[in-house]
Amino acid sequence: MEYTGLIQTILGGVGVGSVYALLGLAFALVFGKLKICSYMHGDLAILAAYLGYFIFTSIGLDPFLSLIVLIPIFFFIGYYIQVIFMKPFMSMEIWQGRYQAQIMVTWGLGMCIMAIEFIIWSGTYRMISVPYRNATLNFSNLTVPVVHLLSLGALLLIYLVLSLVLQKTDLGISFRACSVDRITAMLTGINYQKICAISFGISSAIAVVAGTFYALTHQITPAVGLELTFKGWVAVIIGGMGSLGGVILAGLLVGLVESLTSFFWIPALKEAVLFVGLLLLLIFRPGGLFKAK
Amino acid sequence: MNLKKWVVSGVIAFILYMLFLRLTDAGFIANFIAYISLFVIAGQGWNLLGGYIGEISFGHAVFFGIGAYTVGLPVGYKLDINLLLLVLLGALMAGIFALIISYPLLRVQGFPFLVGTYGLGVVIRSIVVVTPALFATRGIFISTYSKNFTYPLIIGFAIAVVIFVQWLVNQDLGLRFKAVRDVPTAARMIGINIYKTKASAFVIGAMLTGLAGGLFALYGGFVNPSACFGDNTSIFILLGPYIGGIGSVLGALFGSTIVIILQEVARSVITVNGGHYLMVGALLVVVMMLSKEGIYPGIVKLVKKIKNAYQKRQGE
Amino acid sequence: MAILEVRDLKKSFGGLEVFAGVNISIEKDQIYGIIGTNGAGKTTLFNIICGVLRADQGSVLFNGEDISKKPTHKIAELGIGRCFQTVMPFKSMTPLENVRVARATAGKKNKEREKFSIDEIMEITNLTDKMHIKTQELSLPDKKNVEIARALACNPEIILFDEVSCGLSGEEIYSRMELMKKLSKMGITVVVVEHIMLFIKEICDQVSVLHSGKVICSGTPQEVARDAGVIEAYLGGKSNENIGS
Repeated sequence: MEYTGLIQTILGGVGVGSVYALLGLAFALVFGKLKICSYMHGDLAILAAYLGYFIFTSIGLDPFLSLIVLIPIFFFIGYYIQVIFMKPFMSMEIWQGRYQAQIMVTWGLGMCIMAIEFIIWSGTYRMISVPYRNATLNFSNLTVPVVHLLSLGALLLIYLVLSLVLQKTDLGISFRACSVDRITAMLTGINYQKICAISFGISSAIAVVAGTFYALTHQITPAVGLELTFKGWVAVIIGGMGSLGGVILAGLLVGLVESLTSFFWIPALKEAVLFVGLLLLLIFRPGGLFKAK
Repeated sequence: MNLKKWVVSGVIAFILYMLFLRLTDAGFIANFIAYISLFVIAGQGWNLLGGYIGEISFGHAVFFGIGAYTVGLPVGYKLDINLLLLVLLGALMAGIFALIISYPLLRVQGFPFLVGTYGLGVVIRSIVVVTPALFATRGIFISTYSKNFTYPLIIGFAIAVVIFVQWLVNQDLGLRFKAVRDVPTAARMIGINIYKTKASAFVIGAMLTGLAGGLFALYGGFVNPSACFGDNTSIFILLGPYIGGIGSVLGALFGSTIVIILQEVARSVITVNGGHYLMVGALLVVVMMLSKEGIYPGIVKLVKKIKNAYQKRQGE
Repeated sequence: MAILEVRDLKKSFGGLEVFAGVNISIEKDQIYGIIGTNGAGKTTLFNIICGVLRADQGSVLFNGEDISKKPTHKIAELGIGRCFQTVMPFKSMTPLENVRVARATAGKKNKEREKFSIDEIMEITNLTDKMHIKTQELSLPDKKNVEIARALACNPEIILFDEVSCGLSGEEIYSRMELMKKLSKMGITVVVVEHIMLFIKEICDQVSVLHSGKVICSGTPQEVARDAGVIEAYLGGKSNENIGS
């Protein structure tokens, strides 16, 4: 039936969109507040997906259980990437080419990650075939994949936890202080570099969750990393450059646009439609759809 | 002016290449130098925008592809038009397209620009892939000139383009590019229209990249979406200037050469899948960590430092 | 007729009112001083004149033409040059290139007003022997000179100097004062923003005092120095809450 097909498509789009939204959230966290530009989170996500795949195929551990190990590991990876590779660029001003430098370093790292994945797992499409991969919940004649519901749930959970941490904890307060003024924050005794490193770690950990859900809904190949990075950034741009709530809505919108294009038109054009939309947005609302207040 | 020096070395380089071509009978190395030169041309085009204006474009394959397809399509439709004319027309088409697309793209700066240009690449590639009238994924074969004509043509264009860019950036227009990059506010205060300046860098750069694309069609005798519009093409175009040294003509020349040589090394020596990315990625990270501006400016700075230290010691 | 006139200018940033109806009228060939305490809105005023910021209300007239809606580069082409308080030369270029690029843009449009050749500009700003060194390697006073040279190269009718004395030694300030006097004799109107009263007293023909979003006094330097309101504002009065930045 056409009608249920449409609703099914919308639900699927929201499900895929939650992966983009998660990545967008990871970018927005470090970009919107601390002005750190990263182009490697897509590759981190795919790396996590591959590790999940590896753990699942070798010892049969469920990807969600391996998250318990992967999240802290990736937090530290992110932490030390910031400490080792990004620190020299943190004192640059924007007009000195700060973003360009950050983009290039992270992109170079992302390329290395992708190359390593190629070397270990080759370019063949892989899939984590967990038993609940195709499980669905039925509401009258609608079937909703469980994984999509879970990813949407994870997205909301992470958003709530992040907002709570930013609002209530000491870490959140120092984080917001750093986002307002780096120098003043340092003068008040906040360890700016440490805050940046922790945030980068947190955003890497979010990327892990995104990667796991991506692996559960798609087949993975190393080259997808860069694509995911760009989709995450599209979510950030549409979402108004760094408001966390806006990014989530924008990420879901991105997924929706893709699945609706596939449904009504040619699936091969789904990305083209998305980016045409982005170009139109740049003409009419360069500030993004959901502008941060 | 030192432009004379550039012209003289360009002419010498051209003569040397011709000699080499005769001696080796258009062998692998001569072929490879021509291939590198294609990316040198495209890289110089990218560098006008990326280096002199400071906006990183991730989608220059679009202009490369437009240049290549302007040569390829008439051949595909069996029209009898001079190929050289088509190469120049391709450059023009790329410029016109850049002029149109600059309207939305140049309204934003920094990473939205980057994402926008990447998106542009995706859009154009998808359109070509699904359109049978553009020969979709099949591509077009072009019966091209002999190697002994094509290679010197490419080298000649590459030398001319390098000299042209070197000349341009010392003209008033080139100074305006740098002014906009350095301090946009102050640039406006001396009467520079920022949008127009950026757009002219974008358009001229796109024309050069389009020229490289047209020459690529002659060089390979074959155009298809993945070779012309692919992400990899964009990446090679942009990595050269970035690794070599953005905003410097010699640096871009140097960098494009390194990146393409690495690509070849990865393909023929280390045959691991993805080895190329590992090398380029690691090189990019190392270069950015050691010298934020790329290899060439980094070396210049180092030499200056050593010279100063040496002079100091001499003084003592 | 006044060359530059600011009429009933109003501007606020969020809830902070910077200007509550400012009126200034600058005659041709004058040296006009604008003084005010820190945060009185002197730089904001320049930004509005140059079109970097837009006023909420009111207009800016240049030779009788309303320029308050024009983009910045058009205003520069009309003949308004500016030097910044925080120096902003084009760092990757040499002083000579800084001047050349200005000559090629706004300077070209105003060719009939050209008073100095490029060499003369380098001469009067003391940059002749440094004109091939990259600007980022120059000292602060030299960078300020580059800015002045660049503004002159636009062939302006009027130059706005924003706190040129800031960060300079006494002798350097003195040479700037001489330069301004020379420019005004040659038919270029000079507007200076300063907070050093002595500087203003020495060179200005007319002075306005900005305080709490209004011009509280204007006249010759001598008149202004005697004004009770100015003395109160400068020596600590009661109305200090309302000051914008």
